[in-house]
Amino acid sequence: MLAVKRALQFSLRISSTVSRRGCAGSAVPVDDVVNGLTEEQIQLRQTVQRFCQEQLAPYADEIDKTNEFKGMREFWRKMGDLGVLGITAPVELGGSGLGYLDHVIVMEEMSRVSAAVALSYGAHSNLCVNQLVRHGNEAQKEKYIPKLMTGEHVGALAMSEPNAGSDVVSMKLKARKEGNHYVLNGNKFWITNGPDADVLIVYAKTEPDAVARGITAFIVEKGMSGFSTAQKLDKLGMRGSNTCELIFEDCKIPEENVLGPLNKGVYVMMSGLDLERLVLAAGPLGIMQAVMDHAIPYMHIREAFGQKIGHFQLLQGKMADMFTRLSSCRQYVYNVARACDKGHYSSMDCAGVILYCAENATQVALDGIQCLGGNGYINDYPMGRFLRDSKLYEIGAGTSEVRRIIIGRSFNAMYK
Amino acid sequence: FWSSRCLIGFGPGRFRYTPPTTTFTGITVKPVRLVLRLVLKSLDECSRSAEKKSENMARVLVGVKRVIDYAVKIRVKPDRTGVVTDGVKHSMNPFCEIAVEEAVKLKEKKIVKEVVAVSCGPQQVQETIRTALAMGADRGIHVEVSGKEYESLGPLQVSKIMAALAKKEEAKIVILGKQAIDDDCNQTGQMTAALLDWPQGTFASEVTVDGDKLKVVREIDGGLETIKISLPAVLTADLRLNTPRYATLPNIMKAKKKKIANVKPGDLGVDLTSRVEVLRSQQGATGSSDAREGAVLGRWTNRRNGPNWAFETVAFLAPIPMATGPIQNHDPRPCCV
Repeated sequence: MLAVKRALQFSLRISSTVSRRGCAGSAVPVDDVVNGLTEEQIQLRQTVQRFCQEQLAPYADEIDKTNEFKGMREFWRKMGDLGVLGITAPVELGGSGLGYLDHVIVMEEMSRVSAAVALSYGAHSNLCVNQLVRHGNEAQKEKYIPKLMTGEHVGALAMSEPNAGSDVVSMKLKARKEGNHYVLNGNKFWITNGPDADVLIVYAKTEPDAVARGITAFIVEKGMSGFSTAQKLDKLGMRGSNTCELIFEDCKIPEENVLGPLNKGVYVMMSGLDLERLVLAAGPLGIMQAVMDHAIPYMHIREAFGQKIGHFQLLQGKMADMFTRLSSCRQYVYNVARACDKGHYSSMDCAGVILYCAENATQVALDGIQCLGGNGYINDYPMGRFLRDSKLYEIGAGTSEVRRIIIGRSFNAMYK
Repeated sequence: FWSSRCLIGFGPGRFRYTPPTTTFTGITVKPVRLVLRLVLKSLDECSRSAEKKSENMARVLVGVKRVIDYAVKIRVKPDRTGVVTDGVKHSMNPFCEIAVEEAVKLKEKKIVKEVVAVSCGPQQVQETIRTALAMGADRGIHVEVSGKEYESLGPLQVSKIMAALAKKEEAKIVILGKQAIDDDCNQTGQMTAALLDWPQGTFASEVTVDGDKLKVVREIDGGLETIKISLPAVLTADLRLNTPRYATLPNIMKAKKKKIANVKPGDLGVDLTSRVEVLRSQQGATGSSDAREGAVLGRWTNRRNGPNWAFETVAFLAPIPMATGPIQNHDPRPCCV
């Protein structure tokens, strides 16, 4: 056992130095013809895959162990150069002017290497940037989007509170109008990119009595008086995607920073949530692919009872289950993304997509650990990280329970 | 060019001044018309001089090859006529990527005016040309070769095609990768130079322009050799020449609009008959740490099983015994599959 461990550590050192020119861990190919991708999308996938393999893969394990992404700012700049920080943002502002399917592809390939960094990327590029693009006025877009595109600024979105997660509409963060300013008081919790964000979209209650119809979205900048962040949360998974509490103590926000119409923030929020679920659904896809990338080759190298364990029927069954789960999830996500690109937004499908993908990802991650046996249980292999990371997707962006309610209620509404 | 050329345009020889007919405001129509005429003349001078400059700037031809991706585990076909290529992931030869990057760098330094990417093969090679376009090449040429002719396509035929194209496109520099990772021939660049009777800078790890010559630092067995060759010339890219850029998303979208011309070998007057016939392909002895054993394919499969799998032939011929030994048997970690 000890000798094996030493050989593993040695190989770790070799593989980390060789991986500069791409000692590929992308073992299992993705059939993009079956996925129906265009030539440019296939090229995009190859570019992002290569970029992540070379720039992110060597640090993925360390990021998870230390719960910190030391080179985050530099990595954001590199992503800015690659042009992936604003895939759905207009070209005039420095974005790529492409669609949700392209965004999904990038998210998937990044999640394949490090789900935590991909989550941060998703929070920046979809939760923050996409909302600005869809609801910001010209002045706001010109002020905030360019730096978010180059990677100079990191974006985030804050809606959850310590006592308002699923019941987000019951949020307590108050926004009181004072002259040409709004004064915010309260806090937000579980905010991805919270510690690092320069631009945050914050939902607050401008009319506390009006419940849902009293919510307004604001653009908050780091450094505004009264806005501070508290301790970084120590999470089970997605370690490295910094999450923290935001504190607003008489935080003054100029009224130009109201995003969308006053008191109509709930529409901004709910429509944003649909697209957030769609893009984040690519996260579990990437995790499932990563599990396969590690488990399938392992099963063709590891031997037991005189043959490769991949030739045993029970493990062939596991491979088939993992593969069909991943493939069916992928087709669902890609198709819903294509529909959104055509302008057809279905809340039911957006909820269904992340519901299905997240639950399958957890199962596939568990299967992955099982396939590696004892090796799957030790942290020298990333299988444990995949399981811990995949569990988040059943909770964040609306818990599985809430997603089920959305779909159920949609059907109820059809037959009223 | 504004500063240098246009000021000359404004020099004493070109400038004709007539004193304006004065009015109370001091500005009349005549000098305004004069100024406009002068501006147009200088613009004309500038554009003509820019054209002349660009005529003097070279065109670069870059050859790119579509090969099986380096990360794929190679399998020999059951009938032993070759390797399995159907449904297998292909990508641009890594040395060709380095060649494209060097060509694009030369264009960015304004040493060359246009980068043309060339690839020979069936319809699928257009993906490889598109990747080159996304990296910064200006246009592509697809030489259509398919079926039996493609299977027997070797360095001799490709070099004949490259030579014909270099003459047709009036290229000043031809850059190729030093070798392809599927056949490891390391012949196309050298043969192209011989057919064109051009000087060659092979295994280039540094290329600088020195007046109308190229200074090339070559990586050879004994170390580094620096040579000076005159243009036109053929260069082959070695590993350390540069680090290829990523095809960024905006560039991938721009590449959609760039043109790829289709050409047949017959149009170039090239005969594709091969003088080599592949009798049999087979896997070499697996687990053997002696690199020299087995057929070419066997050697390559061997290389894939260890972590030290760099596409450098030099590194391969002196394998690190520890890497191929214990890790193969005990470490099932798929670090390089």
